[in-house]
Amino acid sequence: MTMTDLQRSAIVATLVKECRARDAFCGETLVQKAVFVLQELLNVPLAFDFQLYIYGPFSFELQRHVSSMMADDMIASRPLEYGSTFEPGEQVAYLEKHTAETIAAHRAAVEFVVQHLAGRGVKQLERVATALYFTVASADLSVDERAAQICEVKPHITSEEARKAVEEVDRWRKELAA
Amino acid sequence: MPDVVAKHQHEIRDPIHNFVRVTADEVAAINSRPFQRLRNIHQLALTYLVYPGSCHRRFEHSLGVMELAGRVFDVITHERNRHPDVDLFPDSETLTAWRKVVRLAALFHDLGHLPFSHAAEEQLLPDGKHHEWLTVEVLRSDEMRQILKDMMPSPDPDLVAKIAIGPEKWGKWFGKATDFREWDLLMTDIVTGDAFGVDRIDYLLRDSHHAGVAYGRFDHYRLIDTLRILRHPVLERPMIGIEKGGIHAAEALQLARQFMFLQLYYHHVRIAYDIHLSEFMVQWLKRYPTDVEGHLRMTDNEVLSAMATAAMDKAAPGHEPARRIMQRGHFRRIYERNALDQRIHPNAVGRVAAALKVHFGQSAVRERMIPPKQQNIDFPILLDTGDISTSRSESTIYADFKPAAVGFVLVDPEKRKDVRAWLTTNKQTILSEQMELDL
Repeated sequence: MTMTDLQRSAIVATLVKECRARDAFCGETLVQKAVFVLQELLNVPLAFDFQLYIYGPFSFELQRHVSSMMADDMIASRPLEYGSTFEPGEQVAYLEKHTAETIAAHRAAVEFVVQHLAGRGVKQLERVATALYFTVASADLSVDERAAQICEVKPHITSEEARKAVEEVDRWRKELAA
Repeated sequence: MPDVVAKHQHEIRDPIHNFVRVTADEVAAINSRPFQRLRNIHQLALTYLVYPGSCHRRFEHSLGVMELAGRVFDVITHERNRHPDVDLFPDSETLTAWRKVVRLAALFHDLGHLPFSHAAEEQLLPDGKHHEWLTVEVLRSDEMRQILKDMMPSPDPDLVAKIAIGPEKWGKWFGKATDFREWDLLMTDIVTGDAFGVDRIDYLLRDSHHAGVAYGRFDHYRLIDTLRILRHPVLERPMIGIEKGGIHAAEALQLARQFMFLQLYYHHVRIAYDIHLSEFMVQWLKRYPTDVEGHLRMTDNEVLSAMATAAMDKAAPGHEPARRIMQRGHFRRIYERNALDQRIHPNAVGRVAAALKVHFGQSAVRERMIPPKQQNIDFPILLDTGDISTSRSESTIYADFKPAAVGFVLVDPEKRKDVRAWLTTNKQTILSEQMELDL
């Protein structure tokens, strides 16, 4: 079942909170790619509309949702030396009170993505999220075939980098299946 | 020999840019039926009922967007302005062809607008489509294909369409978002970009001028002169950024947009008229003609004429909203989103509207929630040292920017007094969830 907007906000805010609790930078790219992984690998029913761009999967719907969350003080933006990180906002307490069950149901999934993605650079995030995109679209293809698909849409990355990204996604899938 | 030599460059007088300069090919595009139709589409729908000067049309806005697109293209591709870290620029012949594509994309970007612009597109177009979908359909029509084919060089209609509507909508309806490579993304950003898109630059300046609202003005000459293609140091990708000297002009643009949304675009009376207009169009039309010919026949003139008739005839579809528009009987603001109430309940507007509908009836209450229109943008800045930083690092305006949402509850003017009294007594109960509501 698809989540309500409040439930979606609760998951995004939990993601931000968990990242910051580990002192990890939580910028827009991390939120975009982490939500994509939550949705497509961990089956969290966020149902954001993602499309594949040359910089990896991206959802304008999620971007707008994040802006609404900022307007509603559910998350805030804090400038750092380069760029800025999201922080939990004043209204996180409201979310936690009213969507406690949703947060509890998906906490392990959020912890999984934070553990595997937080602290990574933009290019790494783009590669691995793109690898997941092609794996979800055609799981039967070999590592090399999926790596070739990545290189086709992202000519700025090497086939070795693409291969590593696909292998990592396959390891995640095995880890979750176990 | 002819007495008069054909002109290759034409000038059109414009209150914002003084002159819009157009080539002979562009004159043919401007004279086309789909573009001439924009003379009859108000830029700001019924805003002229609140700000009487805002009667300008999509026609002159589109000319202005084309003029600015050419200026931005020339600045960011000029050899003197190229940054050594960006190695994307094609040869000069290809650049000339791209300049034409970008200017035409800018000129044509609004061809798909329904009558009164955005007022009823969500309700009238099928399957979540927006006016950009019709823009592409018009550009793919035989008439427009022929006009583009007759140009020298002749641009591909789909390339013009792609640059005009950007990757999100192109990817959703016509192709793939990955059809946009790095260069294509930069070209579409000239027209549609969040930070420095010329669509926004023109509409802020033009709407501000016509409405008589000074908040939309900023130093766009300085801004455009300092635009550069730079590699973003965090995102590691080429983007349209600025030289440090343009930062104040960029900040002024960001603030202008925020102020114009709050002061003009989301003025509560304008919102009330938008609601009535959309209700009228849905009741009168039922469904919008989405074939190109049907679309080209529909302008504000047809709607206004039908509205005037419906306002006089109680049996006519759309009589009630038409009457409210024509006789200034619009719904009145009774509640507005505010920070204090948001802290009590993040859906304060929705709860107030739901409670009033229960107590005073559905027909007496309307609500309109408008999510933030501005994203927390971040673009590269070329410092005097030659290093590249970011807008959020160099500017407190960008670093501290918080998107703003707007929301209103409006009521039938005849019930306003009773509603106000009831809401004063019951607001805290509604917001604190002591009142059961079906939301």
